[in-house]
Amino acid sequence: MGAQSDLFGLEVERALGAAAESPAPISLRKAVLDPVPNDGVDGALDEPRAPHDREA
Amino acid sequence: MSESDDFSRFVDAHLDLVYGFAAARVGRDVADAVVLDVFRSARHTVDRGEGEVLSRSWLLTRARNRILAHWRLVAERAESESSGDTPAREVRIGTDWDAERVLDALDRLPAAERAVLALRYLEGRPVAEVAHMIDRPHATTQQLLEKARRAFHALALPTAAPTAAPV
Repeated sequence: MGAQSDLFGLEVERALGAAAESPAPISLRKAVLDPVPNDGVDGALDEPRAPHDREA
Repeated sequence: MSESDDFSRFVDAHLDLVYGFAAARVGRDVADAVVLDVFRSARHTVDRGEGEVLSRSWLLTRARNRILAHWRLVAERAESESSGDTPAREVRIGTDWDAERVLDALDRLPAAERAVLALRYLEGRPVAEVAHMIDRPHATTQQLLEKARRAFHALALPTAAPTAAPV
């Protein structure tokens, strides 16, 4: 049980490390350089969304 | 060279770093908000004539503070957003993790489960410290962590990947 748990942990660590290498979307660069007031993204920090509701 | 060009170069040099740092911890939606907040602050700093303080560590510190505030908020709501139990899957060692697939899985996890995974496996904090940070008992945090690991593997593992030989 413990060994299985450790293996899970190692794989999660590797997976999250891969995610940390993700490049930012082009649209985000544009939003950073040309900010629009109340662009609708700000609230995400204070109002965590339910799973599955990110648009494709 | 204009101040605007300088800021654009600064963004291009650091945007992926800050985004990846945030996305692996809070998922893509919240990462977008973190990145916008951090670079908005950076722009204000430049506007105040204090642009010389900006650096990689300045950005990551600010991103980290915003993420910590978000984690505290989602931890308060942890009980109300359970994903339900996920059956355990066999661990596959050496999976070639695809970042997009991992981010898809993170996006689908409840925020509290993302938080404990990141605190434990990206921040490397002991379970006791994770429990303290989210203000939950140790046993509850351990259960949440195990549940999060199972859910994450169920969502993130490629279904056709080969299974590792027993260790």
